[in-house]
Amino acid sequence: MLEWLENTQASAWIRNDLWGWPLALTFHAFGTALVISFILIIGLRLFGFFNLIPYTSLKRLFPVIWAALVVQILSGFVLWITKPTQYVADGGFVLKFLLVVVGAILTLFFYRTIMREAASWEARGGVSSRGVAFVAATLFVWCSVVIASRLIAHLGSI
Amino acid sequence: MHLIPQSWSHLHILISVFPSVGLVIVLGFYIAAIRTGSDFVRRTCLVLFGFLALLSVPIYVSGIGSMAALSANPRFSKDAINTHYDWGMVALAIVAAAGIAAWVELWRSWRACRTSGDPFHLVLGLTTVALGLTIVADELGWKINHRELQSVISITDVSTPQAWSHAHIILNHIPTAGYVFAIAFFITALVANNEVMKRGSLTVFVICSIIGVPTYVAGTAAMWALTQPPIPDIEISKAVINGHRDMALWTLFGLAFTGSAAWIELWRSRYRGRFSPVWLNVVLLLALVTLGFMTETGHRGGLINHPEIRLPADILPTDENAGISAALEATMKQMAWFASWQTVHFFGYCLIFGAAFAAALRVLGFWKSASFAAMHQLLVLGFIGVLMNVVSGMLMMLSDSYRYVVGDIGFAPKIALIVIGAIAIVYFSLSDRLWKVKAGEDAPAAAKWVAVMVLLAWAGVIVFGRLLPFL
Repeated sequence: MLEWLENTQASAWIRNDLWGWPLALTFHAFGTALVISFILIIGLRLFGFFNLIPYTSLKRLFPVIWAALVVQILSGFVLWITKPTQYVADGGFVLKFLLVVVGAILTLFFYRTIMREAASWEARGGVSSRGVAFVAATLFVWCSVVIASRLIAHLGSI
Repeated sequence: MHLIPQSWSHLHILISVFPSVGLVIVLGFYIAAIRTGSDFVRRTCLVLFGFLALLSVPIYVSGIGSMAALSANPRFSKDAINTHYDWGMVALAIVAAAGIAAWVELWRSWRACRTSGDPFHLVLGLTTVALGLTIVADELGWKINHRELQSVISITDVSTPQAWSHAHIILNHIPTAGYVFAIAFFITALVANNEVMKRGSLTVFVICSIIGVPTYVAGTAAMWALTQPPIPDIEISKAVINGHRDMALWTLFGLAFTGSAAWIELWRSRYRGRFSPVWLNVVLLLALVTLGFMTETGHRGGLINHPEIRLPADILPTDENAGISAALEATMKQMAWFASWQTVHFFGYCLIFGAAFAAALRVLGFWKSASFAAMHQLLVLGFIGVLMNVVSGMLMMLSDSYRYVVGDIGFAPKIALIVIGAIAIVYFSLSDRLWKVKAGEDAPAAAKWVAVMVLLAWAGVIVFGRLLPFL
């Protein structure tokens, strides 16, 4: 199956085209920037920084995060399809992929928490420990993804 | 090392760039004074225009002195000297006329006990023309000595474009001479306790510090442009360049500290409603120390390609592998160091782009549930990102600077966009109208344009940065 993917025309085009790979990488870079920074902004707000931003207005940042995640999945797939067999054999990549899955699930749960609880946080002027724990875990996982990606680039077999 | 000039040529190259850089900064303050209606700032500018005019006397005298001293030297072309002389005379005449007009206005307003004006925009007009002419004169002055700029030797994939050397010569004067004027304004502002001038000086410190980044990059590129391949008839020592680069590293950190302190105060004063006197003094102290580093850096830079100012007593470095810069290059070539700093660089660009994107969301009206002041708090993340990436970027460039500058067509635009993006962000801390935008309100149109520019500039930085290895 993976070998079949690797032999498709699409895979060959991205691999060999002058612009395919760099273009996908560039999109991937924008997605990284938005996911990491917006989760960080929300996280720091919940930790007590940037106190002028109302908790309820943080909801507005989620559409950007979802859009960025879609960009990541698409551009990530495009990058992966060039050499799926090698990626799957690389321990660093498998770890990163698992972290991405965990990160996405955490972000979704955290989003549901903030949608439900933001108004009550605003009313009593503090965040539930559940909210803080969620955002800390989400942030930790996404930052690990970035570090793992650098390790794959420099240490791995790819 | 002799910092005090001991020849006419040395004195001339030391003071001759002050009018052009000074005019830019004083004109900036002058326009700010007109817009804010601050008579004190306006009078200070008029005084300084006069001082710049007085400076034309030693510039003229030292210029004539250098002409006499260098006339027998075959290194310098008579034609280039004469062209520079003609344009220089016109420039100095207009600088002098602008200074006289400024002082006449100062004297008239003082006698009539009224606020200073500018009848027929005479001072504004004359100083603007003077600025244009001094830039032309500077350019023609560099042509006399810097023959490498006209070098036609260009080997594909080997020669670094001489445009980098040219850019370095222009850029390095902006922080150096710029800090002299910024410090003068800043001390005046502190003594007179003038808020407009304090804010203006802090802004100039930030801008000059940001320009330190392209100066350093262009300098690194200029090193390759001058040494690989060597330029015939111009003797350049890599060891002397390394001495200059080591001092430039100190300058880069000095600029980072001063620029950061100044930016933090601009940012923080928004919430406190005033400047912190202690912090302002910290900025002044850092600026003075940085100016010291820059003076020595500039002097060492001058020694690279100005044999006419060297003295027999000067001992120049001879070991091209000595010093911090060479050591850093060797360290950064190791994969563990490079990968670690690249990871820092990645987190840094996330912070910058996130802050720029959040600012754009709010100012363009997609995140109106927060006030502008609330979003403004987030800019500190972008600031931390810029600091992280200036340091990590500098180190990564040192790992293989030749490769970055020789063939990468994306590197120069990336650096230019960093400068534009970083300077444009300062606008968010300066605009009073924007500051008052509450939750639910629309931002002014001018701010929207700036937000778009900030976003596009940083997006461009990421695009060129990510494409770098492929271009």
